[in-house]
Amino acid sequence: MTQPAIQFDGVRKDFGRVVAVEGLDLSIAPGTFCGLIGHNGAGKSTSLRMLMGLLQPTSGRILIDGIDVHQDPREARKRYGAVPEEVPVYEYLSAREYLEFVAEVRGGGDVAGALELTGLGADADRLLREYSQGMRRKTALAAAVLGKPKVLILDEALNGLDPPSAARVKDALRSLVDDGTTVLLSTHVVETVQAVSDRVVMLAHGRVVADERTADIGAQGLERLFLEKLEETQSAGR
Amino acid sequence: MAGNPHTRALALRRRHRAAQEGLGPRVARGGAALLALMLLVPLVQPVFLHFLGSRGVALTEGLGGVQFRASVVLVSVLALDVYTALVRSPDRGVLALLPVDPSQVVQAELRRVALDRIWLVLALQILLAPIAFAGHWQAWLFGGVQLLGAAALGVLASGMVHLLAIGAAKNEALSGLLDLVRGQNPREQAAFIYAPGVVLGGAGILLMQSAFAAPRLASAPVAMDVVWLLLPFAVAGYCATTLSGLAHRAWFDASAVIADIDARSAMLVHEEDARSVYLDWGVRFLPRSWGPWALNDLRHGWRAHRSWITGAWVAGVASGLAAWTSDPAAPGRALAVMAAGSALCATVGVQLNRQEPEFLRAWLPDGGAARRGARLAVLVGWLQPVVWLPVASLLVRHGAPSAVGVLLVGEGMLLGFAAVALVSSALRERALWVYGPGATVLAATVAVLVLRTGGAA
Repeated sequence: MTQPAIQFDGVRKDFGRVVAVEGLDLSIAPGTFCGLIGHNGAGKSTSLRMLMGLLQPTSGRILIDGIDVHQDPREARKRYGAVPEEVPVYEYLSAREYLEFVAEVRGGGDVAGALELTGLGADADRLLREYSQGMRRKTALAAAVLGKPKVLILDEALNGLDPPSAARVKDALRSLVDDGTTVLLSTHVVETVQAVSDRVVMLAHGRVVADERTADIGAQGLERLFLEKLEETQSAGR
Repeated sequence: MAGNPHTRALALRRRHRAAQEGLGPRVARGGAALLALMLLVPLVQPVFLHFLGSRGVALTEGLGGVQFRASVVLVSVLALDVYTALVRSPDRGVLALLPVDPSQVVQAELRRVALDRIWLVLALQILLAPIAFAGHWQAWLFGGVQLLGAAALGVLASGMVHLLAIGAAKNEALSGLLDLVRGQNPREQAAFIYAPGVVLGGAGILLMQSAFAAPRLASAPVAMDVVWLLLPFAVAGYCATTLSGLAHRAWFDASAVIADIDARSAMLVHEEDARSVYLDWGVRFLPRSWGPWALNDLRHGWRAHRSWITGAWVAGVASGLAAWTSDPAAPGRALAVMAAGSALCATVGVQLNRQEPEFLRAWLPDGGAARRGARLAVLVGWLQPVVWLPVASLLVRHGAPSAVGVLLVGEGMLLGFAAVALVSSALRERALWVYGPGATVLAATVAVLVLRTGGAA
């Protein structure tokens, strides 16, 4: 049996009395484009931050390519590239210098290719502090794909991109998945998930409420499913 | 160091930043700091170096005491800087997502702190220059070596302690102890709150011995004094050897630890909202148009700058202790400490304006005199412990006339520092570079005046 690229085993995260994620079990096979959707506060970002190793689960464990993210943080980071919701960059480096730095830390990577992928070539020598939010997001995306990590974790990564850039990035992500990369994309825009992902996982109130193959849902079905599941969980909570 | 990508990236970022900023502001900053130092040198002698005319043990003891206090200040500043660099560095957002070698990150960060703060050693040596001018130049030079040892200890021992603190923060076995000492803070934060104190406590004996060894070496040297003077370097060297292993165990963990601390702090803030009625009650004595601005400053100021505000209580306690004696010079000493405390804590007035979000400036109305008046009232309110604690102390030890005199002078001083802080804050980003040296010189002048006159009260 193939080892999952991403695995959440009974993961729970409490912030005091608030339960952000409750018993999350999720296994994603290599070469899958998985969309993670849910309403605001559903636990998507908390789950992804735990997956990136930026938050410690209260209980349970998280593996990337068989490596425990919190037990062996450096090895786990060699296997993933990530774009968090709030994009951190070195403001006083140009995009090219920043990507060269990331490539060096990652032990290699095609900086020119990453710049081309995100359409930043013409602005590559401007300082990142002069970049718009969308351009910073593209830079973070370029940094995430450097060194071809096995897993890409994208938290609202397509937000703020202009339509041509978003289309180019979606195509690029699709071709990475075809080459065996696993992508986990969190968003609350169901159309995006419908367009690019193979599998959709829906969270509500910190729990998985739906886990479907996109092909099985059909056109217009995802939004309806999303609303139905949301209604169900809200009724159950009342 | 050529093999460390973080050090190279840091150097490149500095170069770009310097090019963007231009030469003018950097020269102005350096010039302002140098000018403040030059003005302070003649003020240092009567306050801290009044024993320079004496001889023998009195001189050696005096020099050792000053050297010890200077090195404690140095280590304290460096310990706080190291905490920021290793635990709360703004760069962590970038680096925590990458497979960095944590020992390289720690090495680069500590090197940056050392380079950024080396001016403190130079500034202290300049401030202590009257020692050399009085003919004790050897003692002054050995003092410089002692400060360098303290700086090495401040960077490397702090590095070790803060990396250990990350482990302590997430160690379940220590949770009981941390709960015992955390006060209102999240449990994990307790490990970091006490880390600078642990550094100072651990380094204290070493600093004291090396501080007193420095002047002795200049007068009647013995071999043991050489050992004491050099021991901080050796201990710092030992701490350096532990950093790589500790960094590998702790550096990545810090991201999760501080995320939990921030989440719990946010919950504490929500609990504060329930008590906001007290704030509403507090501003009802102000003119009506000042109310909303005062409430805004009270809420935002407490959440964003509470260490400055609670610092006023610490300054008040220090001043109160200076007054808690039957010595007739006590009111003067209390006023001198009060001046330093007011100058330091009024910095919150500068910070409030400096760190105000851009969108607030764009969207809120100007506010004019009401806004400025409200801020002055809030600032003066926050600073009250600096005055009232020593006044209470004087009331008990020296009676009402002395206490009332100090109260009047203290309130005037406090109002003055608050006003200077608010006027300086109009310069926003550059305000600290004006207020810092200006307030220091002003506080030192006040201290010298009250000490010379034996206290205005």
